[in-house]
Amino acid sequence: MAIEVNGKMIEIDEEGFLVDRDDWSEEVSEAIANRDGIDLKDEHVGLIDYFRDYYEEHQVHPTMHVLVQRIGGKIGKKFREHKEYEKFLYMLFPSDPVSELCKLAGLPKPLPSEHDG
Amino acid sequence: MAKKKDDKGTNNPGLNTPLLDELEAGPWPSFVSDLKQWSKTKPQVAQLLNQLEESYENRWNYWTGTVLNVSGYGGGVIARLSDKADKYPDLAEFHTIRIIPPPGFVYSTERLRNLADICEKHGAGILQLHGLTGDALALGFDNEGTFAAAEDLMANGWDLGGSGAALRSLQCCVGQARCEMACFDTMKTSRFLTNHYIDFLHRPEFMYKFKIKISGCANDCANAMIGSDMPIIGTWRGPMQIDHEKVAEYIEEKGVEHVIDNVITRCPTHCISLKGKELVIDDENCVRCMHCINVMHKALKPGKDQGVTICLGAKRTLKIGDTMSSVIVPFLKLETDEDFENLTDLIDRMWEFWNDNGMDHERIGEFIARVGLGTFLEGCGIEPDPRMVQSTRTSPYINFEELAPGDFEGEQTQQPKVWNREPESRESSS
Ligand code: SF4
Ligand code: SF4
Repeated sequence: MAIEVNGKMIEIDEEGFLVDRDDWSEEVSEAIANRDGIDLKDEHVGLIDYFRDYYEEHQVHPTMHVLVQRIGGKIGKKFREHKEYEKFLYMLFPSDPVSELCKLAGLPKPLPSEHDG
Repeated sequence: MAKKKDDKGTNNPGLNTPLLDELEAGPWPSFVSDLKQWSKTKPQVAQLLNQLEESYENRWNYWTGTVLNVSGYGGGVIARLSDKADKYPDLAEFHTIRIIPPPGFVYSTERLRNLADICEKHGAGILQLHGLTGDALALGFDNEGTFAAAEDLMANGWDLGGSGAALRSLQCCVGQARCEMACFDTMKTSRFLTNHYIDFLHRPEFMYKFKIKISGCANDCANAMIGSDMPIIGTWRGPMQIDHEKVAEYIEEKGVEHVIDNVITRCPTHCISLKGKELVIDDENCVRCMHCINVMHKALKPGKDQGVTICLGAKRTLKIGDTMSSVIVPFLKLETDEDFENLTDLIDRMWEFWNDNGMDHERIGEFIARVGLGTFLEGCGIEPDPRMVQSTRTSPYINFEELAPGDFEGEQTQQPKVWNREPESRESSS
């Protein structure tokens, strides 16, 4: 599969993750968002940048835990109040925020957690 | 009930499963018979059995995990793809949906039919009620089927359960609904906590999973002590209720010997004695293990002042070996709204401390083992209590510094001081 961005064909897999991560650009991210029916606003773009920076520094994508602690931690003092931030994330990306953000930021697909039971 | 040989799943021509057939031998019900029967209606079930047969033969698991989420949920679907999809095309996507069961697993037949119908309509229609996770599991959905089934389930008043690093679906025993031993309303507690923490259940964000199981008494029918991070177990304060007439009747009927052999000597703390036809229980030393009550259920009953004990830390092997829970709150009343608020407040504090300081994939029991119980209690603002024992003491030598003689650094040549314990200090409480 591929999507067209500025007249260039960009290779993506079935779920929309980039095949070659070096293809990433803001336009590509917008095109993938369109494909998933997400209208990119400042909040989305800010998070995508955060994901890219975090990945560069740690070589792993941020987990929901990290997001709620680091960004959500700025809202209120209590644990329950931090959780509000997660609600906001699910509002921005209704189907699995972390996976969607990885996709838009051109990061590898998150692995399933190995222990389901 | 034993089944007759010819009752076993009649063979479907597409099936070739000699190893699985072995599981049908013997008098017990077998999932193989059930699935064989069902494979006549659903062709994918025959493929499922054939793949399982192949797994048994080659000792290899042909399932791969993947991620699939219903919109707005972070869990609830266990997505599985088959590695043998070219041989068994219907197994290419074979996902499991976790559904929150009613408290105490009490369904009406109407609801159960409704659940079965939905699962049959959108998937293979295999239901597993209930494994150790405590969820109702529906197996065999492809991607489209998963979304359609989730919509349908929610329209009919069901909800998806927890999976991944989240609060998992709560599980409780039947409690006061059917059982005279119950010391508190387990079903209400389970329902209250599910509703209160529904966000934590649907959207994984913890270090790792957190399970709460609720048992009405120490008989622990919900398997809480071994199977959950936070067991809530019913107990009581003060004296046990004894009906002396019934005790006398029981002794009359069974004989003194039976009572001595089965009740008195089997009390783990040996706190029961028999005076004529009267049982005398030393309530100070009773550990509320329920044994005597189970045996003499007409004569004995849990005490009147009832509440719960909250424990922490059971888990299977991951970072450290298997553990059982140990006590964190010895007694908490659980009746009024205020009591429930206390409980959620406590859970919030423990989660906060665990979540802020835990490492990846570390369950709360492992976390406590790493940082130490003292640090954990301090972090959550819980008062230490001598009843928080993980295992009983093996050394009888105790070093209480405040009780020891003052000059440790005295010269070696000095006669050691002999400290005499004041006899009065033993009779403090009671
Ligand atoms: S745990 Fe106790 S209260 Fe609950 S069902 Fe079992 S015996 Fe009854
Ligand atoms: S409940 Fe257990 S510990 Fe208590 S008196 Fe009965 S047998 Fe003994």
